[in-house]
Amino acid sequence: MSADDTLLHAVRHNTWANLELLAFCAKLSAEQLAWTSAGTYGTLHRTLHHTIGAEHSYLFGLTGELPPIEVEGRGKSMAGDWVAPIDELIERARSNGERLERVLAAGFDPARRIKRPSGAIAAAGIIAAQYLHHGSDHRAHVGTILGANGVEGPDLDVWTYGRTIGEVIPPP
Amino acid sequence: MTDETLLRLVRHNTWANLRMLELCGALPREQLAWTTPGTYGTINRTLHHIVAAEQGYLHALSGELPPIEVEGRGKPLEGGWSMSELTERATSNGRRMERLVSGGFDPLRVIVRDDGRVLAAIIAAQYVHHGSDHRAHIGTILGAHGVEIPLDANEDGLDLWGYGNTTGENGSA
Repeated sequence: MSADDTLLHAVRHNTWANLELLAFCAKLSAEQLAWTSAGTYGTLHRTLHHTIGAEHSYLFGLTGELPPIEVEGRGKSMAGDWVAPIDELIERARSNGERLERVLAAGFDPARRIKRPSGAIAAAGIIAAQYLHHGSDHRAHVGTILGANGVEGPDLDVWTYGRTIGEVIPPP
Repeated sequence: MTDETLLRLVRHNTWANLRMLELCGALPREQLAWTTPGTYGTINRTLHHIVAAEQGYLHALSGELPPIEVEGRGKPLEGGWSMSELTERATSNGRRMERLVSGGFDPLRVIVRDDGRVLAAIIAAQYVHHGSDHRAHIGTILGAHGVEIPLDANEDGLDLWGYGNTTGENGSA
């Protein structure tokens, strides 16, 4: 066994947390999805859209591939001012997680130099690490917005993920 | 084998904690008491929590207390640490975590904690998630009070792009 298993758990935690948060937000009204709070990224819906859209761009950097929903012509680019419906974000988030797992499982070279859409160059390992950091960062914004509006969001830390998959076992 | 991406996550976490502590170390005391609804608490409380939680994760993974406590120079209770003590503890946490994931780390080891049994990999993954989560709270509090995090030639804040610029792993085409 290697430390790779920790990275795999970090990736799966990110996917799980995105999906838990999206499922939670799917039950909110349009008015609630327009909530925001000073110092965060934007509205709840905009932040969810950005979280998933950024993962698309990281995966594009790592693979050169667009998300399946866009390749198949069922969804458009996430750039611009629009926000995707929550059910579409769920499909995209699930696909992102599966794709990143495949990338890391298939001879991933963290030192490979990649040209990003901005023109900047980044090591593949930096892009993969940014993918994981970025989700934690923006889900915290969503949690702050919910809390500031008196709504308790779901627990999204790695302990809760671990309990879900049976790798954190509370005492009897 | 050391996973290089995991190592980057650990190093980024340490770098971002230290950048945040450096920034907050320049704030007056009343600003360290700022908070905003929906976050963890005050800036000072959140900084303490980040650093203390990492010590908790490291204790679970290694059975060891932080050097500052082993040497009798720091008290274990969370809270009341000066900014310089927080910085020393954050630096030490990062070094200890790097050593752990670089040297024969077994992610499938089952660790017994007060609150149950947990896989070592879960603790290590929580370590890197936790910092990102709570630094976002501090960024939110600062932003809500009109304070921008002053950064170098770095487009997105205390993220991996900024870290990669620092380490030379990012660059121009």
